[in-house]
Amino acid sequence: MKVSPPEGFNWNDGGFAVVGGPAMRLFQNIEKMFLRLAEKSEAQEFHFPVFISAKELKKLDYFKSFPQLIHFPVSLKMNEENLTAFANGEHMNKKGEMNLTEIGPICECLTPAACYHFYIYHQGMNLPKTTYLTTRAHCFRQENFYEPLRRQRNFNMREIVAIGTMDEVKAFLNRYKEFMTSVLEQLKLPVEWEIATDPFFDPGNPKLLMQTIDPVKQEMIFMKGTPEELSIGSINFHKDYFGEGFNIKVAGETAFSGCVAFGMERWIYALTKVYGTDESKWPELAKVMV
Amino acid sequence: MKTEAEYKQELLNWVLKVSTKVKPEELTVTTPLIETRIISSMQVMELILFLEKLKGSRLNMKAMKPGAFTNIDTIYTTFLKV
Repeated sequence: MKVSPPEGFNWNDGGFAVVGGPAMRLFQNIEKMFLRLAEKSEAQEFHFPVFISAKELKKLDYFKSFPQLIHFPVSLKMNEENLTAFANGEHMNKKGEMNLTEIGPICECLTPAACYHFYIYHQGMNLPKTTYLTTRAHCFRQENFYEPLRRQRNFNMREIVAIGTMDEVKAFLNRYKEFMTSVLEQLKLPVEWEIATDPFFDPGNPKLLMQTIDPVKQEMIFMKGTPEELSIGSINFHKDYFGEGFNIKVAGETAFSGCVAFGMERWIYALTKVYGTDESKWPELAKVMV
Repeated sequence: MKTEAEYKQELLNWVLKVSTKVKPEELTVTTPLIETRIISSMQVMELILFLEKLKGSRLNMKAMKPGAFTNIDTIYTTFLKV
Protein backbone atom coordinates (compact mmCIF):
# COMPACT_ATOMS: atom_id res chain seq x y z
CA MET A 1 0.00 0.00 0.00
CA LYS A 2 1.44 3.38 -1.03
CA VAL A 3 -0.22 5.31 1.79
CA SER A 4 -1.74 4.35 5.12
CA PRO A 5 -5.44 5.03 4.78
CA PRO A 6 -7.02 7.26 7.40
CA GLU A 7 -8.66 5.77 10.46
CA GLY A 8 -12.11 4.42 9.65
CA PHE A 9 -11.18 3.13 6.19
CA ASN A 10 -11.52 -0.66 6.10
CA TRP A 11 -10.32 -2.42 2.98
CA ASN A 12 -11.62 -5.65 1.51
CA ASP A 13 -9.29 -7.43 -0.91
CA GLY A 14 -12.22 -7.86 -3.26
CA GLY A 15 -11.54 -4.25 -4.23
CA PHE A 16 -13.94 -2.31 -2.03
CA ALA A 17 -13.97 -0.58 1.34
CA VAL A 18 -16.09 0.43 4.30
CA VAL A 19 -15.63 4.06 5.22
CA GLY A 20 -16.36 5.45 8.69
CA GLY A 21 -14.87 7.66 11.41
CA PRO A 22 -12.29 10.27 10.31
CA ALA A 23 -12.13 8.79 6.80
CA MET A 24 -15.87 9.35 6.46
CA ARG A 25 -15.56 12.95 7.70
CA LEU A 26 -12.90 13.59 5.06
CA PHE A 27 -15.11 11.95 2.42
CA GLN A 28 -18.03 14.18 3.45
CA ASN A 29 -15.91 17.32 3.40
CA ILE A 30 -14.59 16.50 -0.07
CA GLU A 31 -18.19 15.89 -1.13
CA LYS A 32 -19.32 19.27 0.26
CA MET A 33 -16.53 21.03 -1.61
CA PHE A 34 -17.59 19.40 -4.88
CA LEU A 35 -21.22 20.29 -4.20
CA ARG A 36 -20.18 23.92 -3.78
CA LEU A 37 -18.45 23.64 -7.15
CA ALA A 38 -21.63 22.21 -8.65
CA GLU A 39 -23.66 25.07 -7.17
CA LYS A 40 -21.59 27.50 -9.20
CA SER A 41 -23.51 26.26 -12.23
CA GLU A 42 -26.73 25.82 -10.25
CA ALA A 43 -26.45 22.15 -11.11
CA GLN A 44 -29.48 20.06 -10.22
CA GLU A 45 -28.57 17.09 -8.07
CA PHE A 46 -29.76 13.56 -8.86
CA HIS A 47 -29.48 10.22 -7.13
CA PHE A 48 -29.34 7.16 -9.36
CA PRO A 49 -29.50 3.43 -8.64
CA VAL A 50 -26.38 1.31 -9.00
CA PHE A 51 -28.10 -0.61 -11.80
CA ILE A 52 -27.99 0.71 -15.33
CA SER A 53 -29.85 -0.75 -18.28
CA ALA A 54 -27.64 -2.97 -20.45
CA LYS A 55 -29.81 -2.09 -23.44
CA GLU A 56 -28.92 1.59 -22.96
CA LEU A 57 -25.21 0.92 -22.47
CA LYS A 58 -25.24 -1.06 -25.70
CA LYS A 59 -26.26 2.12 -27.53
CA LEU A 60 -22.90 3.57 -26.45
CA ASP A 61 -21.05 0.55 -27.83
CA TYR A 62 -19.86 0.10 -24.26
CA PHE A 63 -19.53 -3.68 -24.43
CA LYS A 64 -17.22 -3.48 -27.42
CA SER A 65 -15.20 -0.58 -26.04
CA PHE A 66 -14.75 -1.66 -22.42
CA PRO A 67 -15.58 -5.38 -21.97
CA GLN A 68 -12.80 -5.69 -19.40
CA LEU A 69 -14.41 -3.22 -17.00
CA ILE A 70 -18.02 -4.32 -16.92
CA HIS A 71 -19.89 -5.83 -13.96
CA PHE A 72 -23.30 -7.50 -14.01
CA PRO A 73 -25.77 -8.05 -11.18
CA VAL A 74 -26.61 -11.75 -11.16
CA SER A 75 -29.48 -13.62 -9.55
CA LEU A 76 -30.65 -17.20 -9.65
CA LYS A 77 -33.30 -18.26 -12.11
CA MET A 78 -36.61 -18.15 -10.29
CA ASN A 79 -37.90 -21.69 -10.37
CA GLU A 80 -38.25 -24.01 -7.43
CA GLU A 81 -36.04 -26.75 -8.78
CA ASN A 82 -33.18 -24.35 -9.48
CA LEU A 83 -33.50 -22.53 -6.16
CA THR A 84 -33.69 -25.82 -4.26
CA ALA A 85 -30.60 -27.11 -6.06
CA PHE A 86 -28.72 -23.98 -5.05
CA ALA A 87 -30.00 -23.93 -1.47
CA ASN A 88 -29.04 -27.57 -0.93
CA GLY A 89 -25.75 -27.47 -2.82
CA GLU A 90 -22.22 -26.42 -1.93
CA HIS A 91 -22.68 -22.67 -2.04
CA MET A 92 -19.03 -21.80 -2.26
CA ASN A 93 -15.61 -23.30 -2.94
CA LYS A 94 -12.60 -22.93 -0.69
CA LYS A 95 -11.50 -19.75 -2.45
CA GLY A 96 -14.78 -18.08 -1.54
CA GLU A 97 -16.13 -18.29 -5.10
CA MET A 98 -19.84 -18.94 -5.43
CA ASN A 99 -21.11 -22.14 -7.03
CA LEU A 100 -24.20 -20.91 -8.81
CA THR A 101 -26.91 -23.00 -10.36
CA GLU A 102 -28.84 -21.64 -13.33
CA ILE A 103 -28.83 -17.85 -13.42
CA GLY A 104 -31.67 -15.60 -14.51
CA PRO A 105 -31.61 -13.22 -17.47
CA ILE A 106 -29.15 -10.35 -17.12
CA CYS A 107 -30.58 -7.08 -18.40
CA GLU A 108 -28.64 -4.64 -16.25
CA CYS A 109 -25.06 -3.73 -15.50
CA LEU A 110 -23.54 -2.06 -12.47
CA THR A 111 -22.85 1.60 -13.13
CA PRO A 112 -19.43 2.06 -14.76
CA ALA A 113 -19.50 5.89 -14.84
CA ALA A 114 -21.80 8.34 -13.10
CA CYS A 115 -22.75 10.59 -16.00
CA TYR A 116 -24.19 7.84 -18.24
CA HIS A 117 -27.34 7.98 -16.13
CA PHE A 118 -27.98 11.56 -17.20
CA TYR A 119 -27.95 10.81 -20.92
CA ILE A 120 -30.29 7.88 -20.45
CA TYR A 121 -32.56 9.98 -18.22
CA HIS A 122 -32.72 12.81 -20.79
CA GLN A 123 -33.20 10.45 -23.72
CA GLY A 124 -35.60 11.82 -26.34
CA MET A 125 -35.96 15.17 -24.56
CA ASN A 126 -35.78 18.58 -26.16
CA LEU A 127 -34.31 20.79 -23.44
CA PRO A 128 -35.15 24.49 -23.66
CA LYS A 129 -31.60 25.52 -22.72
CA THR A 130 -28.25 24.21 -21.52
CA THR A 131 -28.78 22.17 -18.39
CA TYR A 132 -26.33 21.60 -15.53
CA LEU A 133 -26.51 18.48 -13.41
CA THR A 134 -24.60 16.67 -10.71
CA THR A 135 -24.60 13.27 -9.06
CA ARG A 136 -22.38 10.98 -7.04
CA ALA A 137 -22.62 7.35 -8.06
CA HIS A 138 -21.20 4.09 -6.84
CA CYS A 139 -19.22 2.87 -9.84
CA PHE A 140 -17.87 -0.57 -10.59
CA ARG A 141 -14.92 -1.53 -12.78
CA GLN A 142 -12.99 -4.76 -13.05
CA GLU A 143 -9.23 -4.20 -13.06
CA ASN A 144 -6.19 -6.46 -13.09
CA PHE A 145 -5.42 -5.51 -9.51
CA TYR A 146 -6.92 -3.37 -6.79
CA GLU A 147 -5.34 -0.95 -4.35
CA PRO A 148 -7.06 0.83 -1.47
CA LEU A 149 -8.17 4.35 -2.40
CA ARG A 150 -6.17 4.27 -5.66
CA ARG A 151 -7.77 1.56 -7.77
CA GLN A 152 -10.98 0.16 -6.37
CA ARG A 153 -13.45 -2.19 -7.92
CA ASN A 154 -16.26 -0.26 -6.27
CA PHE A 155 -15.65 3.46 -5.91
CA ASN A 156 -17.52 6.75 -5.76
CA MET A 157 -17.52 9.16 -8.65
CA ARG A 158 -18.86 12.72 -8.36
CA GLU A 159 -19.65 14.37 -11.64
CA ILE A 160 -20.82 17.80 -12.72
CA VAL A 161 -22.36 17.63 -16.18
CA ALA A 162 -23.52 20.10 -18.83
CA ILE A 163 -25.91 19.12 -21.60
CA GLY A 164 -26.48 21.94 -24.05
CA THR A 165 -25.12 23.92 -26.95
CA MET A 166 -21.54 23.37 -28.08
CA ASP A 167 -20.43 26.85 -27.05
CA GLU A 168 -22.02 26.69 -23.61
CA VAL A 169 -20.66 23.21 -22.88
CA LYS A 170 -17.17 24.30 -23.92
CA ALA A 171 -17.45 27.42 -21.75
CA PHE A 172 -18.59 25.23 -18.83
CA LEU A 173 -15.54 22.98 -19.20
CA ASN A 174 -13.16 25.93 -19.47
CA ARG A 175 -14.75 27.50 -16.38
CA TYR A 176 -14.34 24.30 -14.37
CA LYS A 177 -10.73 23.89 -15.44
CA GLU A 178 -10.10 27.33 -13.97
CA PHE A 179 -12.04 26.49 -10.78
CA MET A 180 -10.14 23.25 -10.33
CA THR A 181 -6.76 24.85 -11.00
CA SER A 182 -7.53 27.31 -8.21
CA VAL A 183 -8.80 24.60 -5.82
CA LEU A 184 -5.71 22.45 -6.40
CA GLU A 185 -3.43 25.44 -5.80
CA GLN A 186 -5.21 26.39 -2.57
CA LEU A 187 -4.93 22.80 -1.34
CA LYS A 188 -1.27 22.66 -2.41
CA LEU A 189 -1.88 19.37 -4.18
CA PRO A 190 0.87 18.65 -6.73
CA VAL A 191 -1.30 18.11 -9.78
CA GLU A 192 -0.60 18.53 -13.49
CA TRP A 193 -3.16 18.58 -16.27
CA GLU A 194 -2.59 15.95 -18.90
CA ILE A 195 -4.35 15.01 -22.12
CA ALA A 196 -5.56 11.43 -21.87
CA THR A 197 -7.61 8.76 -23.59
CA ASP A 198 -10.13 6.29 -22.20
CA PRO A 199 -8.98 2.70 -21.49
CA PHE A 200 -10.33 1.08 -24.66
CA PHE A 201 -9.99 -2.69 -24.76
CA ASP A 202 -9.01 -2.79 -28.43
CA PRO A 203 -6.13 -0.48 -29.38
CA GLY A 204 -7.55 -0.52 -32.91
CA ASN A 205 -10.91 0.86 -31.74
CA PRO A 206 -11.76 3.86 -33.96
CA LYS A 207 -12.94 5.77 -30.91
CA LEU A 208 -9.43 5.53 -29.48
CA LEU A 209 -7.97 6.86 -32.73
CA MET A 210 -10.55 9.63 -32.59
CA GLN A 211 -9.52 10.56 -29.03
CA THR A 212 -5.89 10.58 -30.17
CA ILE A 213 -6.42 12.90 -33.10
CA ASP A 214 -8.97 15.06 -31.32
CA PRO A 215 -8.29 15.03 -27.55
CA VAL A 216 -11.41 15.37 -25.46
CA LYS A 217 -10.18 14.31 -22.04
CA GLN A 218 -7.91 16.20 -19.65
CA GLU A 219 -6.89 14.49 -16.45
CA MET A 220 -5.71 15.92 -13.13
CA ILE A 221 -2.56 13.89 -12.49
CA PHE A 222 -1.45 13.85 -8.85
CA MET A 223 2.32 13.53 -8.23
CA LYS A 224 3.09 13.00 -11.89
CA GLY A 225 6.22 11.04 -12.66
CA THR A 226 6.44 9.41 -9.23
CA PRO A 227 5.29 5.96 -8.06
CA GLU A 228 2.36 7.75 -6.42
CA GLU A 229 1.12 9.13 -9.75
CA LEU A 230 -2.65 9.01 -9.91
CA SER A 231 -5.47 10.60 -11.88
CA ILE A 232 -7.81 12.20 -9.35
CA GLY A 233 -10.24 13.75 -11.79
CA SER A 234 -10.90 14.64 -15.39
CA ILE A 235 -12.61 17.11 -17.66
CA ASN A 236 -14.31 15.55 -20.67
CA PHE A 237 -15.89 17.00 -23.79
CA HIS A 238 -18.20 14.43 -25.42
CA LYS A 239 -19.18 16.62 -28.36
CA ASP A 240 -22.63 15.47 -29.53
CA TYR A 241 -21.86 11.78 -28.98
CA PHE A 242 -24.44 11.28 -26.23
CA GLY A 243 -26.84 13.82 -27.70
CA GLU A 244 -26.93 11.85 -30.91
CA GLY A 245 -26.88 8.41 -29.27
CA PHE A 246 -29.80 9.25 -27.00
CA ASN A 247 -31.60 11.76 -29.22
CA ILE A 248 -31.23 14.62 -26.75
CA LYS A 249 -31.85 18.06 -28.18
CA VAL A 250 -31.38 21.58 -26.91
CA ALA A 251 -33.71 24.13 -28.49
CA GLY A 252 -34.28 21.70 -31.33
CA GLU A 253 -30.60 21.01 -32.10
CA THR A 254 -28.65 17.88 -31.16
CA ALA A 255 -27.19 18.42 -27.69
CA PHE A 256 -23.49 18.54 -26.86
CA SER A 257 -22.29 17.45 -23.45
CA GLY A 258 -19.31 17.54 -21.16
CA CYS A 259 -18.49 16.55 -17.61
CA VAL A 260 -16.09 17.14 -14.77
CA ALA A 261 -15.47 13.91 -12.86
CA PHE A 262 -13.80 13.23 -9.53
CA GLY A 263 -12.81 9.93 -7.96
CA MET A 264 -13.78 10.48 -4.33
CA GLU A 265 -11.51 7.81 -2.85
CA ARG A 266 -8.60 9.09 -4.93
CA TRP A 267 -9.08 12.53 -3.40
CA ILE A 268 -8.84 10.94 0.05
CA TYR A 269 -5.60 9.33 -1.15
CA ALA A 270 -4.17 12.59 -2.46
CA LEU A 271 -5.09 14.61 0.63
CA THR A 272 -3.76 12.01 3.09
CA LYS A 273 -0.61 11.57 1.01
CA VAL A 274 0.11 15.31 1.32
CA TYR A 275 -1.28 16.00 4.81
CA GLY A 276 -0.98 12.62 6.54
CA THR A 277 -3.61 10.56 8.30
CA ASP A 278 -3.89 12.77 11.39
CA GLU A 279 -7.29 14.44 11.08
CA SER A 280 -6.11 17.58 12.89
CA LYS A 281 -3.63 18.25 10.06
CA TRP A 282 -6.13 18.02 7.23
CA PRO A 283 -6.96 21.24 5.37
CA GLU A 284 -10.28 22.91 6.05
CA LEU A 285 -12.01 22.13 2.79
CA ALA A 286 -14.95 24.34 3.75
CA LYS A 287 -12.61 27.33 3.50
CA VAL A 288 -11.43 26.53 0.00
CA MET A 289 -12.67 29.24 -2.35
CA VAL A 290 -14.50 27.76 -5.29
CA MET B 1 -0.22 12.66 -59.72
CA LYS B 2 -3.12 14.89 -58.72
CA THR B 3 -2.79 18.60 -58.00
CA GLU B 4 -3.57 20.11 -54.61
CA ALA B 5 -6.92 21.39 -55.91
CA GLU B 6 -7.81 17.95 -57.25
CA TYR B 7 -6.95 16.22 -53.98
CA LYS B 8 -9.03 18.72 -52.02
CA GLN B 9 -11.97 18.32 -54.39
CA GLU B 10 -11.79 14.54 -53.97
CA LEU B 11 -11.87 15.02 -50.20
CA LEU B 12 -14.79 17.45 -50.39
CA ASN B 13 -16.71 14.93 -52.51
CA TRP B 14 -15.88 12.11 -50.09
CA VAL B 15 -17.13 14.08 -47.06
CA LEU B 16 -20.37 14.97 -48.82
CA LYS B 17 -20.84 11.34 -49.81
CA VAL B 18 -20.37 9.82 -46.34
CA SER B 19 -21.76 12.53 -44.06
CA THR B 20 -25.34 13.63 -43.73
CA LYS B 21 -24.38 16.43 -41.36
CA VAL B 22 -23.26 19.04 -43.83
CA LYS B 23 -24.76 20.59 -46.94
CA PRO B 24 -22.62 21.10 -50.06
CA GLU B 25 -22.94 24.88 -49.81
CA GLU B 26 -21.70 24.81 -46.17
CA LEU B 27 -18.62 22.66 -46.72
CA THR B 28 -15.26 24.29 -47.46
CA VAL B 29 -11.67 23.15 -47.02
CA THR B 30 -11.57 24.91 -43.63
CA THR B 31 -14.86 23.56 -42.21
CA PRO B 32 -14.10 21.76 -38.91
CA LEU B 33 -14.83 18.07 -39.57
CA ILE B 34 -14.14 16.44 -36.22
CA GLU B 35 -15.14 19.12 -33.74
CA THR B 36 -18.64 19.29 -35.15
CA ARG B 37 -18.74 15.55 -35.79
CA ILE B 38 -19.35 15.95 -39.51
CA ILE B 39 -17.04 12.93 -39.57
CA SER B 40 -17.67 10.30 -36.88
CA SER B 41 -15.04 8.04 -35.31
CA MET B 42 -16.09 5.16 -37.58
CA GLN B 43 -15.86 7.42 -40.62
CA VAL B 44 -12.31 8.43 -39.67
CA MET B 45 -11.31 4.82 -40.30
CA GLU B 46 -13.00 4.95 -43.71
CA LEU B 47 -11.26 8.25 -44.39
CA ILE B 48 -7.87 6.71 -43.64
CA LEU B 49 -8.58 3.96 -46.17
CA PHE B 50 -9.74 6.56 -48.70
CA LEU B 51 -6.57 8.63 -48.16
CA GLU B 52 -4.39 5.55 -48.64
CA LYS B 53 -6.22 4.86 -51.89
CA LEU B 54 -5.75 8.47 -53.03
CA LYS B 55 -2.09 8.48 -52.09
CA GLY B 56 -1.39 4.99 -53.32
CA SER B 57 0.51 4.06 -50.17
CA ARG B 58 0.04 3.54 -46.41
CA LEU B 59 -0.32 6.62 -44.22
CA ASN B 60 2.29 7.44 -41.63
CA MET B 61 0.62 6.46 -38.33
CA LYS B 62 2.94 8.80 -36.45
CA ALA B 63 1.16 11.66 -38.19
CA MET B 64 -2.13 10.72 -36.48
CA LYS B 65 -1.90 13.55 -34.01
CA PRO B 66 -4.20 16.28 -32.77
CA GLY B 67 -4.90 18.66 -35.62
CA ALA B 68 -4.25 16.20 -38.45
CA PHE B 69 -7.93 15.72 -39.25
CA THR B 70 -9.21 19.17 -38.31
CA ASN B 71 -10.35 20.04 -41.84
CA ILE B 72 -9.61 19.25 -45.47
CA ASP B 73 -6.70 21.69 -45.53
CA THR B 74 -4.96 19.98 -42.58
CA ILE B 75 -5.68 16.52 -43.97
CA TYR B 76 -4.10 17.51 -47.28
CA THR B 77 -1.08 19.11 -45.59
CA THR B 78 -0.52 16.20 -43.19
CA PHE B 79 -1.04 13.24 -45.47
CA LEU B 80 -1.04 14.18 -49.16
CA LYS B 81 1.26 17.16 -49.67
CA VAL B 82 4.58 16.10 -51.14
